[in-house]
Amino acid sequence: MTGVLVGFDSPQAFDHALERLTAARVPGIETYTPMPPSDAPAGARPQDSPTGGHLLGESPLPLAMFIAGIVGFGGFFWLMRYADVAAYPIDVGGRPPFAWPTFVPIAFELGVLCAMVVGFAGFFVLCRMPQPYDPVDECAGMRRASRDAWLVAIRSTDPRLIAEVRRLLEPLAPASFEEIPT
Amino acid sequence: MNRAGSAWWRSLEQAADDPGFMADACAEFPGLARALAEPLDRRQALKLMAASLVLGGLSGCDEKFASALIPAVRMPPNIVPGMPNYYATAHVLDGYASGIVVKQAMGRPVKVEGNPQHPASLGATDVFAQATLLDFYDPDRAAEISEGGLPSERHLFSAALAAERAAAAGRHGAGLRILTGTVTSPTLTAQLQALLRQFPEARWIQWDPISRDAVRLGARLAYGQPVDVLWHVERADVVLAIDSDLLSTAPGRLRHAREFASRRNPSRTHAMSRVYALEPTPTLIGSVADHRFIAAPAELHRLVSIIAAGILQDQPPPPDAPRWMPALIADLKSARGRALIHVGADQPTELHTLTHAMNEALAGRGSTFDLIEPVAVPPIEHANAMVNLTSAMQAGQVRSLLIIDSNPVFTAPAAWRFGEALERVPFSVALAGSADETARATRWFVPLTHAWENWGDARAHEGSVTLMQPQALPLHGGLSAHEMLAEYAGEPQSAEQAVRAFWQERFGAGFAGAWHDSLAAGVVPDSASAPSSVRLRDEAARTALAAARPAEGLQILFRPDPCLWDGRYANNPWLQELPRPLTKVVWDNPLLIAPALAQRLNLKSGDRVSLTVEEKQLTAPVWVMPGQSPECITALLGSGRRAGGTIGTGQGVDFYPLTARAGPVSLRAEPGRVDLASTVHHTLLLETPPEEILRHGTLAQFAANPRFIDAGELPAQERDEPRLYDSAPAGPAAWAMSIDLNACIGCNACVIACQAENNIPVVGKAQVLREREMHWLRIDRYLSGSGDAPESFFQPVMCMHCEQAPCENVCPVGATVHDAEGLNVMVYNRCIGTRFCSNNCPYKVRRFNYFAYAREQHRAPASWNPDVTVRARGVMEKCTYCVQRIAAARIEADRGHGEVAEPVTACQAACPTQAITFGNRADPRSAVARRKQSPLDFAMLPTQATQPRTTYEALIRNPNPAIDGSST
Amino acid sequence: MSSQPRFDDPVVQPQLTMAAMTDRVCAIALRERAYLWWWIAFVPSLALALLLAVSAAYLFYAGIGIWGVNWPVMWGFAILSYVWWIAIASGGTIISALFFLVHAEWRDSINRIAESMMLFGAAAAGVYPILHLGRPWHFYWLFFYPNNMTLWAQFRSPLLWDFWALFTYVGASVLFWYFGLLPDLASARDRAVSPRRARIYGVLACGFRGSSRQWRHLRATYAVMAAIMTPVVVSIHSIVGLDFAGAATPGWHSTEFPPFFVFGALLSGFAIVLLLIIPLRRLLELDDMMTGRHLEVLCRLLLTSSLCVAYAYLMDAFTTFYGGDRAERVMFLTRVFGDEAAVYWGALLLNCVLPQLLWMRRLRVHQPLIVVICLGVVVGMWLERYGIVVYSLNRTHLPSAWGTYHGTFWDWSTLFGTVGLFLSGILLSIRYVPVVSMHEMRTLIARRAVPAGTEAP
Repeated sequence: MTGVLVGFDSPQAFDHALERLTAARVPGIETYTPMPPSDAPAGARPQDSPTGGHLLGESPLPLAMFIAGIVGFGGFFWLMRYADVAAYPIDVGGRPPFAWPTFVPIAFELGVLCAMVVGFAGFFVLCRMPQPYDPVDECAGMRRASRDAWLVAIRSTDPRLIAEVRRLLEPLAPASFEEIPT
Repeated sequence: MNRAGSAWWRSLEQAADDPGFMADACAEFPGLARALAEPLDRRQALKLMAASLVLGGLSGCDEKFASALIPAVRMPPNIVPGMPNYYATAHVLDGYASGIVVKQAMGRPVKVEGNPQHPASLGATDVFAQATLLDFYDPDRAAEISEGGLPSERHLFSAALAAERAAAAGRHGAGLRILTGTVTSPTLTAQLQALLRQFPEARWIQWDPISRDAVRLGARLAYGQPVDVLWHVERADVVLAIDSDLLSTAPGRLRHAREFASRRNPSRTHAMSRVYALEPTPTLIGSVADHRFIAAPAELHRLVSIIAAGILQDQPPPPDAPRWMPALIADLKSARGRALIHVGADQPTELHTLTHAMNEALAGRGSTFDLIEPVAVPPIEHANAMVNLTSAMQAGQVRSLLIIDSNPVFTAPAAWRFGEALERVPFSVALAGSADETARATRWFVPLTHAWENWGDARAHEGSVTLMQPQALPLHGGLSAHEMLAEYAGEPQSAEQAVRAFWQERFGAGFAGAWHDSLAAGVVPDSASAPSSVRLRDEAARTALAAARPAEGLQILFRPDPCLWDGRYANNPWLQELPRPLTKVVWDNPLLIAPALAQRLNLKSGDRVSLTVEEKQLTAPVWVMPGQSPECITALLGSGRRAGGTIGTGQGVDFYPLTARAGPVSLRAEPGRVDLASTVHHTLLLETPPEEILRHGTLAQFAANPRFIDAGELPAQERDEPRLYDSAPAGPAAWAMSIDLNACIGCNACVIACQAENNIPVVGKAQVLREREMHWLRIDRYLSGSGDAPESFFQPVMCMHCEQAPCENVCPVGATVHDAEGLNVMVYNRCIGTRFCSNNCPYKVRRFNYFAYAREQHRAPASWNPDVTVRARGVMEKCTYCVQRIAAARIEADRGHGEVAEPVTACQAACPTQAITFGNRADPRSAVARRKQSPLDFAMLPTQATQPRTTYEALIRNPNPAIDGSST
Repeated sequence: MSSQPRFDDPVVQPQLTMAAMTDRVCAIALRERAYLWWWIAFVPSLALALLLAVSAAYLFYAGIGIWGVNWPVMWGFAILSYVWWIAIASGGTIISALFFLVHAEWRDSINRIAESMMLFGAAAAGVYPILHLGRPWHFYWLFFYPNNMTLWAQFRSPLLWDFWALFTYVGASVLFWYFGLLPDLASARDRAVSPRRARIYGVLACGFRGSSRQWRHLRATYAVMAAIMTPVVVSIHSIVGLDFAGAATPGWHSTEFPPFFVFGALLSGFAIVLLLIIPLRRLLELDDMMTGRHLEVLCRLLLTSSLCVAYAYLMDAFTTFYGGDRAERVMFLTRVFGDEAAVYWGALLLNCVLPQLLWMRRLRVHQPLIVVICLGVVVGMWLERYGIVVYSLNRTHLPSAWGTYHGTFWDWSTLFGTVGLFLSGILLSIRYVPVVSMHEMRTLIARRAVPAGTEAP
């Protein structure tokens, strides 16, 4: 037993559960929801709570994508300048070798591509994906995480903590309460 | 023995008992002698058999290449690998020679240039001379003697000929006829006359389908004896060209064109000439004339007699004469001594006589023309001779007929029934280059060696003789005319022996030197015809144009095809695909009809009509020809060959069946169309060519303001104005070109020279119909004014080598870029075929290899220019300013022969009028730099700001102020 | 359950729950046997796609000459069809990306279809630049890579910009499409009954479970990707426009081309989306999430872009005469009054006149009419490109270089072949990929479920 997975049918119940758990400073909380919790209605606002921040903080990826875009743009712009001015200057239509306006479109496109790739790859890195297996998959409730169930998982092997969690969440009448096998 | 060897498989028994062969066999196979000495048993017989068969093959090679295969240990003299050799000879058309120099790469001809020292060439060539290259390598050329259509043997022919000679000798040559084209060759003449002395009863007939009888007879009628007229066009201030072939087909046309052009550019000539053309159907000189008057044949005769009356008897024109008539006559008279009237060969004898009278009356003799002893050998009445010959043949009086390089079965008017008559000749021989219609009809067919394969001589229009030396060993064997006549005469000798023998006695003591010099120069010094002092017969002035038949309905004119001549070039793909100068039609010879007539019959170009002359009827497509007289139609001869080789056979329509018929002509529209391929894919008749494309004006405007062409609201060439990009290539040289529109007569010499020099493939009619012709250089023709009497403009267009080249910016792989000397270079290897460059080229001078055109050519590999890449499929190509020639010049310079010699582009070299000038613009002394200083200099499409290196000189016309603009 | 769409339909029928929606959409992708209609549509599409393969093979064997292109008109079907396809693809991106940024709720149920359209439109377009080359086996020379001849591409050429724009666009589209697909693949994985399907979707989902971390990064990244895709799609079509505007050819040399082409992209994009969802909402019984509201909105957008295109046509005519360039005038007059003026007027009628019917509210939900109008637009946009590409080259500066152009059999077979490629791709994606973006629908439904939720226009 590496923890428990508690499922709720409504986002409201899910919110209360989170509030209680965070109020009780329960560590190792993870949630599985059918939609981004922050988009959930009726203000599930765990991040307002003292410890909820770690659940829904800002993602560093947008910044990374921005930087990647800038670097890609600059890099390819430089490459074109190098090719036309330094590597092999050729008289093309009597235009100056450093025809910078004509470098912009390609630099833009490739910069953008860099940003997309970094964002895509970064997501997989930060989420440690692909992750084919997780003990939590053993719980029947997980099948509904991608449908309509709002799940909270508490990863802990400490029976006292588990009992504490059970005590906290029982009153909210969870739809399911399963132990996460090893 | 070679014959026997190579013929082994054919005549076993004959070769076996040929002692020469056996000796040779023993020499090559030592064992064989012993084997033969012993009595034959089966094994040895087999050995001998095998050996001989092998030997047959060997000696087969022997025959052709023995003298060509030279071990590389010692190079043959005068051949430096990679460096071309040039040998002078002449190109002969209907007897008249025009000097050429053949460029050879490692001993094989690859290009034809004009011979500057030759009076009829002056360094220029016409389309035929250029295209001779392909004729020389023509795969359809015959290789074997044949009798009755079956392969035969040289020695069998010799035997037959000997027998025939013996028979003829018995009859003093009665029934012996020799038919040739017009002959000017001194050697051939001597041989023929010797033969005629040997056989007094024999007859020699000269005949060419493109007849010049009227010219010769007209001169004889005027002067009482045969004379030739030598025109000095450059001395004429006023020219009246009456249906004239001065620039198109007359002997000496290249020289005429040069002299004509020398008086046409007011910024260079002291006094610009004025040219009137009076003609029923458009001609080259008519297209560049200042005034062009259209008159149907009958009307034309009337008008000429009025002019004659005005000049000879000072009669004022009758009231019903055209408005321009008085001014014309006045102009001619006022130019006394500097006026020239020229009549085309298609006009009747009397008209020529009358013209001679007028020219004499205008005191042109000695200035605008001279009389010389005739160049062509009498008899001068060709047509009559031919008719007599045919009737004699019909009557069975002709026992043996020797046809030398002539194709009467195809070209003789069907009305004469030459073909049938030929069947009644027991012993007929055709000496022809390929198995043409005549060669198939005669009993014997003997392959004729190409003019480049054997010795000979010929005279130019003014008489100068060129000794023609072979350019290569015979590719297929065969006989030359000299050899054939020598053999007939009974003392066989080679052509070289014949020519040498003749000139031996002509040069006398200093033979060796004179012979060498003449060969080197390509012309025999002071061999021109002697001037003739004969004076005009008084009757000439009183010649009545009785021949002027009253206009009865439609009339038909027959003209040689500008590219196929009388049909002898029908198998030449370059010429077949060469846009005809005035119609731009290729691969076809539609009937030319006037717009008015087309309207009346509701015809469009390409529609089929049935044409009937007398009872003879045939169908042909029509082409609406602006400037054609509505009372006559023009048929171009030479197409529709029945045995014209793989290319020429069945291509176009054969109009010879209609020639020499006097009967009424009727034209009827037929259902259906023929797809006519023209390189003008969009029939255009502009009001006037847009100023931004082609600038033109009158001498009056020019006199008022030499820079008047810049006066238009169009920005003058932005050469002096500041521009966004101003990076002119900074090379040692700045290659540039200037094209003088005043000189261009649209003769196509440049187009085909470019094709020959740059390995430009022929694509065929189907691809031209799909608008995929490949010519790098095209001559645009614009027509302005009404379709009935348009003004015509020629404009050669090739790559302009823009300094701000639009094509270069849009190529994604940099396959077309600029070099330091301003060339817009095309890198074939780099091209991936996006074709954006062509879309962005305002001048549309780029061509694309949609298929592997070059690979599909049925063309001897040896005939390609080794200095020029042959382009692959999917690659763009265009004019390179003949970069290979520039490179050659540069190499010369690097080898320490001083600064870069001015390279000459192929088009420039070929141009008879020197309309094209190429060179280093950066060098102020260069011709091109000076030409670009001309006030007439303008760039095409200046608003595109492309800074083209090729510019034009505006076309100036010199109309008679007394005649209002509207011609006719 | 299919009911006539009404213009006042809600963006999603209220009775629809997350669970029901998820189950139904997954069921479509997870069907063991495809629908009959699917086979009826798929077999001919595949046949056409094979025709494309044959045409391409023969083209490589014989050469560009099998097409109708000639000396004056060196660009023909290949380029104009390429532009046409790119426009269609771009429309999909606009719907998916731009309207995500503006939080348009109606976009959530159709963006997956729009993205598939973008994907396979780009694929169909991507075929052409290679086929179009005279020596296609050298296409890689467009990449700039170090080589021992230090030869580089020629960066001044709009064609090279175009190549890289397409390269980026296709790449980015695939990433964007797959990224937004992850949570739905997870749903499909969790719904799958057969272990084989479960494993396949499991692999594709890469272990997406809807953890808060995954949602956080996915949401942030997806938003940025959308923010990137929007300018990318504008850029690619502007650059396609520059292929023409960058040339000095009469009829091309016009600064209005980039926006003009983007308008065209919008128009054809909306048309194709409508053509896809109108049958699908019926056949897949999705009419409670693709409601009259969607038709209504899309029709309004179609109308708007049609007006933009009309404006571009107007300016085209205006600048031609305002500029006063002779060649330009001649070219335009030939295009409008020449032998084949039908092409110009056809484009005008189908792209600008016919869509004006959509001013009427009732007609904006009248499905048969919409289909007719959209088909008209699709054809009209092709005609427009035909006019631009062919007639400009038919009538360039020199009258001596005027010509004519006709497509050959192989031109047409290639064009219809790409249509087959597009349809096959769309049908396959409908068959195996969740056809609606479920996680976004769940958000929508959830937001709708609370009475306080206010509907964003």
